[in-house]
Amino acid sequence: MEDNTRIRIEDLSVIFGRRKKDAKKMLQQNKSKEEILKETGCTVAVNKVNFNIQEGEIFVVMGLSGSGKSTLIRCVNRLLVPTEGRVVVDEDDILTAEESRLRELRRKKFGMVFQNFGLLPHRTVASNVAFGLEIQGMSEEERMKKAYDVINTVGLQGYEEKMTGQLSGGMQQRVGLARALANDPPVLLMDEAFSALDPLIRANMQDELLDLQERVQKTIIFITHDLDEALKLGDRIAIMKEGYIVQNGTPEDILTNPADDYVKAFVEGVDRSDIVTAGTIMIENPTFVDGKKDGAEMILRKMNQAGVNILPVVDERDKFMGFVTDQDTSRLRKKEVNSIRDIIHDHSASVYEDATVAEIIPIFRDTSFPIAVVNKDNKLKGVVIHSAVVKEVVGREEKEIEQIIKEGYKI
Amino acid sequence: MMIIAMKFLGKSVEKGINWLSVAAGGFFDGITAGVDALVETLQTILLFPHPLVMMVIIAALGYYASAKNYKLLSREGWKAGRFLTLFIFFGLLLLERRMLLKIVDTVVMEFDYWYIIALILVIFIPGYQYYKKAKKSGLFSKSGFEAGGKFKHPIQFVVLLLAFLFLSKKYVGLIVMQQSYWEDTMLTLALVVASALLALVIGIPLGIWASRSDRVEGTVRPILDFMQTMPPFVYLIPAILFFSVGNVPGVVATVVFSLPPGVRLTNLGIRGVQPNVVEAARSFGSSDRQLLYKVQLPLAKPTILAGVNQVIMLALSMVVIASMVGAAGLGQAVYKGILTADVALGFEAGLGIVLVAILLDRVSQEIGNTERKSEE
Ligand SMILES: Nc1ncnc2c1ncn2[C@@H]1O[C@H](COP(=O)(O)OP(=O)(O)O)[C@@H](O)[C@H]1O
Ligand SMILES: [Mg+2]
Repeated sequence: MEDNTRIRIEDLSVIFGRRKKDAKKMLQQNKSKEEILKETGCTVAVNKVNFNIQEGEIFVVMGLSGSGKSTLIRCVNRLLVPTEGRVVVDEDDILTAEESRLRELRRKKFGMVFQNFGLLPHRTVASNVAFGLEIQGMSEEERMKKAYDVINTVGLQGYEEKMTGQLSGGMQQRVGLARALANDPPVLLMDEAFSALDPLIRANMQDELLDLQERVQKTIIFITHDLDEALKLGDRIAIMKEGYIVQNGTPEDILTNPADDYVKAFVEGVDRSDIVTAGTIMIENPTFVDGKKDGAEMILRKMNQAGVNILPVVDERDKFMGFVTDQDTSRLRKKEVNSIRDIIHDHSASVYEDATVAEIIPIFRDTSFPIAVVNKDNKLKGVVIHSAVVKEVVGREEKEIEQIIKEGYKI
Repeated sequence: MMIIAMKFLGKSVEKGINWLSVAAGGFFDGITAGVDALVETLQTILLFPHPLVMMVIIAALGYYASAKNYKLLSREGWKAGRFLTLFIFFGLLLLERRMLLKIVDTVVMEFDYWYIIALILVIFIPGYQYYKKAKKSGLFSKSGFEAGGKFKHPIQFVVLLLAFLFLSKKYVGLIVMQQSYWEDTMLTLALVVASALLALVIGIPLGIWASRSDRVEGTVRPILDFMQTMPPFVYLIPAILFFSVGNVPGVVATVVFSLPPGVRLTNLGIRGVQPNVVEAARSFGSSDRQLLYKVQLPLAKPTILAGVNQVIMLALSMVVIASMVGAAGLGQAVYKGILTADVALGFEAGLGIVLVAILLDRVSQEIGNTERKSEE
């Protein structure tokens, strides 16, 4: 696999308090956060955290308040100096960098957005957005031109000369975002950037961030305490608890295999249908019918063995053709029809592996057949059956659902 | 035991100070020359123009300070600035006996037709204002009285009437002072401004330094406490030893006494800047210098200016005390009044100090005020 690692965090620990040395020792002995707090009065805010972030991905760090997210993200641009560990961004070791190099990196490589905006209240919107450029010594004219451009990008045109205090929260955060984007940094650090906003505006901003990401491809660390936000934005999600990372994976990993009860507690009550994909709930390597070779006898035997009454059919190049039922196959055996071609329901739908459950449900409304999962070449990868989908939606066990289906959809 | 120890402490401080005044004589001479030059320059500037011109200049400064948030030459500007401007002008005029008398001489005749016109105006101006506001609700009804601003215009009437009465030759003696205090007032102003300037030049950088390091703050704070709790008279003794008598020891004692709020409020102001704003500025790669000038000082400005105001007021409060070591100005007159039990002199010079105090306080506060007065 090609290594596109942009940010590498190794064994990062942050301890707050006076007796850091003792706390550090206890940490090495794998003592718990409470023990260390009790013994030394020190808070372990970040506890031996490791992860890599790839170029162009949105890496979400999620956790409850106080779990150390803000502390962690502040180590990335050294707003906070960690007690231990390494932070490497591209070829720079952030924590050992010279002061001047660090300033350079902050000016060119990082753009940061804060939960409480951190705007300069004595300046106009444009002047706030141009702040990073001003720090770099860009001329007034040039930086204002850029600032106006970026303000356009975030949809704040017409507000350039307003003081920031006159704006609503959502608009202020747009200013914050514009300020971070103004010097076109490859890495965005966003600490609960949308948490202070109303739900509606928040959803809006999330969409816009995704839009923007599609256009400009940044590497983004996004902090949130909200699972829905994490699932919506994250290419990968790290879940933090009491300073350490309990799980690090794709949104689907997190939902389908929560690492522990903490994660499970998060995941419960989430609308999974937008997240879980056909690839996850399909039956892989299903029994299939070879459309070229298999005759009626063979098909019926396969059905018997698999314990099903419907099977997918593929051609000689493994391409999906449709489904056959046991009843139709019996008709084939009795020679009521001439060839297998006449009994293949080739109108049955197929989906790609990354189709979400939400996208599959409407298809099931129109067919009583399972749905085939194929790749881009239409090769059969698996089969999604009704009960698997229903399970995702209502969260009941498969057996229970089959029972319900048999008894006639009395859900 | 205790008494012996006290003697010992006092004696050793005395010894140390004596030693210092000899050992660092050149240093103190340098300071003396510098402070003297500063005070004298300010005095010369303040006394150079015709007093009437200076009054107008200072009044204009007051006008600018209080009207700057509006268009200067507009109705709103005048509304915001008129009180302070007129107060400064007439206050200073009161202290300049010769000018006041000259004006009264040229303007006022004894109950002739001009004076009658003036009197009619006095009745007419507040009367018309009242009429304009109250006519809708009935001039002499209760609601009309309320719409007309209640007692505002009647009071205006009384004040104007008194003012014009005093401008008649018959009664002017009641408000004219027994001598002119113009030079003394300008000397006092020069001393206060020089002391405040020095206190701020030392205090603000010290405050900035303290805001950046807890250690510096921890060192400076008890020293400031000490400086503020010490009775200000005490500073006069070493001041005399180091700088002999005159304006310089007065200024030095004043600087020491008025320094603390400048340091304290600068430190407080900078530390009070929202940490998330500072953090954001840092995250974009600000150097310490950029952070200070682009973020911390602008945001701490209101607090720092409150400190400036306090420094000026403390400096003014030292005026009489400093005159004990020979500093010139109104304080000297008050001091003379005390020594000779001259109530008239003491009161008039004291009134002069009050006027200067109000002037400095209002102007220095208005400079820091960036808010528009809410419209009625
Ligand atoms: N400057 C600090 N001094 C002491 N403790 C701190 C400091 N900042 C954060 N903490 C502690 O570190 C832990 C993690 O805080 P934080 O990173 O802000 O969490 P989150 O952003 O996930 O809410 C908390 O227990 C918090 O009290
Ligand atoms: Mg936080």
